[in-house]
Amino acid sequence: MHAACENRLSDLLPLLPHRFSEEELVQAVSTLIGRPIYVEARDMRGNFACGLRERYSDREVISFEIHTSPLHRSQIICHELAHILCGHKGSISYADIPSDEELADMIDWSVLGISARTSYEEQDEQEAELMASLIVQRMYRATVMPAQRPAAADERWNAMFT
Amino acid sequence: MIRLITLGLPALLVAAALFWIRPRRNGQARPAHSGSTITMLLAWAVAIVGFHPGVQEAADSVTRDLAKLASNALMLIASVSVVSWLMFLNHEQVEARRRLRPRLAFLGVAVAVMTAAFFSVPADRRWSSEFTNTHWGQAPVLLHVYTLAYVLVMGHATYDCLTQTWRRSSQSPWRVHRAGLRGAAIGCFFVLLYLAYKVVNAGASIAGVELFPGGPRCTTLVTPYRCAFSFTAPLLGVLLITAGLTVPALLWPAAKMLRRRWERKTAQDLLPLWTDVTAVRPQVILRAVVVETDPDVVLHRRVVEVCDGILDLDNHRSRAIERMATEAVERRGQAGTATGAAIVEAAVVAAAIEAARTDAREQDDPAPQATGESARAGDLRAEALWLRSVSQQYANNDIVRTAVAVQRQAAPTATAA
Repeated sequence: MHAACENRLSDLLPLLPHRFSEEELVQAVSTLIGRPIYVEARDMRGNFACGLRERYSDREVISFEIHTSPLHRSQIICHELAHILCGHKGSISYADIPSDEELADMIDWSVLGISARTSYEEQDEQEAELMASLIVQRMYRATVMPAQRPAAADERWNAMFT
Repeated sequence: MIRLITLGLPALLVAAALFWIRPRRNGQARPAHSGSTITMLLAWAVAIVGFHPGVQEAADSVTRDLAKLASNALMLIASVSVVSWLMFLNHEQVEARRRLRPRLAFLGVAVAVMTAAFFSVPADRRWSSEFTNTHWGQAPVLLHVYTLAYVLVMGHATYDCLTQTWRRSSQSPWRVHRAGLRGAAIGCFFVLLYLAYKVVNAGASIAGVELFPGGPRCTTLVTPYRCAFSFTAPLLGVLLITAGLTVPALLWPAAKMLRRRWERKTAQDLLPLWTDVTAVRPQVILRAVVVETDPDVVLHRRVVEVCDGILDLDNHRSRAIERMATEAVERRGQAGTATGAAIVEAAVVAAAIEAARTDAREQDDPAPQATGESARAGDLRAEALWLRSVSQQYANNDIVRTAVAVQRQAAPTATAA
């Protein structure tokens, strides 16, 4: 699983600079899949998940819990992006969402599949979380280490002492 | 002293070049600019050897002042090697080579002009001749053409180096890099000081004013005092540039080691909180990376799992406990401090863990998470620092212990409710 995630990441990283933001990451994944990705912050407290990925025929929608720390939000967004990168169909459908859940009102009925970040018992969730961890780890390492193969002038200057 | 410096400094530069040539671990590619860095260091080593009294005497024995021409030409080559290094840092290799070509042509023309001027002036009219020393105002114009060619090439290269290293010194994300680049920029300033001396000296001499008296050889770093500008300033400049560009590279492995130690230690410090959070919310653990041994990976997972666990315990966050802890923190004079915020968060989380452990009824209006936004920039380091302080308070603070005791006594279980 680790190797498969690294492979997918190697397709994505050439689209990104050494140091990249969440916005750049979302844009790169969107370019890779050829569909727009919308990221929305939501108050999801009291719901069964802190992150959601809704798969539609023409777009992807990611929702993340707003009431948590910035790093945690990044992890949640990367987890949902990882579902998209891994080509997961979504383990739950619109009908599976309990009607008393507030989320049921937020999701369009035309959704093709939903992935929810709850636990890592299912293989898809495990894979997405592992991949998210690899992405966030790259983001962290880029802040403490220069690029191994610097591309832009900034990266070359940062790599000059290593 | 002069002999020692003119041999010691080149040895240091050669050692620095060897450091850059060294084979990399794990077949890691050498940075693209390594070639130009090595060339630059070796060019400066050769240029400084050109100042060695033995070399100077040998050159002067061929024809008067040949040592000056040789050392000046070597200094120009060294200064253009700096330009080359800057080019390769700022541009792709092909583009860097393209931009470098006219500068190399400029260098070639300047050295040719200097050489032609030098040999066109009779030996008894050159700088160290008695006539020129005593009648500098009547010195051949070609000697001034020589100086002009020299200062133009050197000045352009040095100014380029100063502006770029200074600008980049504020952009680098690492403190040690910033310090190194600032050192190099200050070194460039000393080289410019030397060039200014050359222009002023030439101008003063033409005007018949002897601003910098003294014989042709330096006896110490500052005697005769023109040596402070003609010898020590460029030497100091080269030393600072070399140190500025080399010391950060030498310190980098140590900085890396310290970072890994910090990551390992912080992951360890998070254990008390992580252990108890994951005991009541085991689903937050990602077992797929359990074999990972990189300290940053371990730290990252521990931080994320604590965040997940705390978020999952949201419905057990008690406002009553939060109030109690806040009042206790105020009584201790820690209100408004990072430690105070960590104590309150630790108390609320500890009570929430206790509530989950005893299957207590969920809060109707749960207390919000202490986001600690001001201290949490969104990166792993900032988040880990915040959670580490929460974990430390969680493990040791008596306000937290009181919160757990209060929670234990007060809350009815979900089943009882």
